[in-house]
Amino acid sequence: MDGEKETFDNPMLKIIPLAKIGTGVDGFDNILNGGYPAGRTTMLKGGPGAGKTLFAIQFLLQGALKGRPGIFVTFEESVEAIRINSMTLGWDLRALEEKGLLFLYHAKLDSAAVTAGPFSLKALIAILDGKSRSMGAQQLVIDAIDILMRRFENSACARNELNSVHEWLDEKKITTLLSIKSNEDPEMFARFGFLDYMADCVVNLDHRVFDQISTRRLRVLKYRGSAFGTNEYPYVISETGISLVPIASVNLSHKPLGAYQASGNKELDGILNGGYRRSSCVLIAGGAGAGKTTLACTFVQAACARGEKALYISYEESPEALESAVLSAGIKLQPAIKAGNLKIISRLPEIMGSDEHLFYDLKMINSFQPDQVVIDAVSACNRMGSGKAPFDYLMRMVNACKERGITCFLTNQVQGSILGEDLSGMAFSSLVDTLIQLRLETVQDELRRSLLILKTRGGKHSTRVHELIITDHGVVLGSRKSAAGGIPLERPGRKPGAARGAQRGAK
Amino acid sequence: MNKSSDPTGAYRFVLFVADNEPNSVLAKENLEHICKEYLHAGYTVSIVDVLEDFQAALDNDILLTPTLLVEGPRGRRTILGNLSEIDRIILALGSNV
Repeated sequence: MDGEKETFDNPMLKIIPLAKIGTGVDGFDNILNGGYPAGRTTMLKGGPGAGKTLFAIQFLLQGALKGRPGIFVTFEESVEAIRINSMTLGWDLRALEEKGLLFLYHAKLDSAAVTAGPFSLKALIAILDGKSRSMGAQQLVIDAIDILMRRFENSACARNELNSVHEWLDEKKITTLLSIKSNEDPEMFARFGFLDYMADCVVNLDHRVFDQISTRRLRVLKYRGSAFGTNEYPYVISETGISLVPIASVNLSHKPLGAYQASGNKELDGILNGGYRRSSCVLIAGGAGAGKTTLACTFVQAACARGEKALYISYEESPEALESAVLSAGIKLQPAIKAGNLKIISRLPEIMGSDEHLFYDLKMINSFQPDQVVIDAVSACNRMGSGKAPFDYLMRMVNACKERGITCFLTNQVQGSILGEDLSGMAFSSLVDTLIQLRLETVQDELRRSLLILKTRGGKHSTRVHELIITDHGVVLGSRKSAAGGIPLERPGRKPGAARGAQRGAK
Repeated sequence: MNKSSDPTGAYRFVLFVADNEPNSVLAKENLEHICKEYLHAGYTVSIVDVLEDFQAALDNDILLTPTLLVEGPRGRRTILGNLSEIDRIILALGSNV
């Protein structure tokens, strides 16, 4: 894939790979097989909000930091606006300008100008030429060239003038990014379609909104003389600029299931044959109020007390709400948060697309290096978007955990309780190593919770239905004596599993 | 490169050209014709070759050649092109032409 081709052992055939220059965008170099073509022109096409200017700035920034001076010409924004916008991402362009590594130039077109005969772009070329000579520029961005093109009354004229710019670029061998607004105006697009042929590499940036959730995708349309990734790739604009969402690993490189780790509850450890296994995926499914979050936090508290790190991604509650909710069950998360062992991320699923959720969560996993990850709840992830998006997110998250030897806890709110039903709600049960079903039901005017282990991979487990009692000092299994509030709940002779029988009988 | 019939002239022109490219040559000729023909109140003309002085183009936001910057009774005006469309120029220069 990297510029080398089959030579059939012909000694006369020498393949010289194209020289490339880094894009400055995380993950993009891989797709372009090394970067933009050095000394040539790359075109970025995209609608408003696609991030064209950011791509361009990141390219110049990376070059400047490596000592390659660059010029940024824009027909759209003022130089000051670009400086301010870049500063919000922590990029101090002014410092680079002062060092002569960057030149920002707002090429203003006087909108009130009167046209009295044909004209050419010679002055712009003279400026580019003079400036690139004086600062030794190796990189150039021409941003929003469509605005310049509108100034020409006919497309033959525009074409001629752009050709002269192209010839100059060709002669100078400056690595250039040309950005153009597209998809906006089909007529413009038809008029300036020829621009594609000027560029050796064309990248389409697409910002789409589907079901009110915005996603960004890029696709390389062509790359003369180089291989490139041909798929659509999601990218995000985050507080550090543009990054591509890491591509799913091609190979399954899951760590094998590891040692048993105490679940935070002795009875549960007993029926799980020792606890949850490291690097496994645990799914806790059940209706609202069945105790899913409580069970997950029981484990988190225990793990953090052992000095392990846990990342809790809550799609339903704020960190404070979560903390106080489980506090009533005697689970104290505060000490672990204070000790830096527990991080709670709380986000509404619909606030961004699944790509962005994935990007931020993977970034957090990589920086925080947790031992345990909880996603509460899988059911809420459906609000990240339609179709395959939520499934992809969860699949990638579970894979990421398994590749890193992290235990991944998922909770899922499911209605009904039919055995054998897909309790992951998204048909990824095959990734689940331990499946626990919680139920909440009324038996003889009394609310009762129960727990049933449906599967644990690579180990024995109890096959009974156990009563689950949430007391003010934690979760208790199978015992009737220490119920919440100390109210005596007597049921003489009741056996584990009776609740299920009672429910069936009622139906 | 100043040409003037009256140093206090009502119109001050700066014409940006690109050496001797055909449109630049035409613009110089057309401007001279307009001045002699219509601007009896006086004018000053300076000509800047952007190929020799790109900084002047940068400082004055000149991207296209030829560009004529006019300062006259009706304020600042920018006129683009080889100045062959005389009617438009007269209109842009104002009523006292």
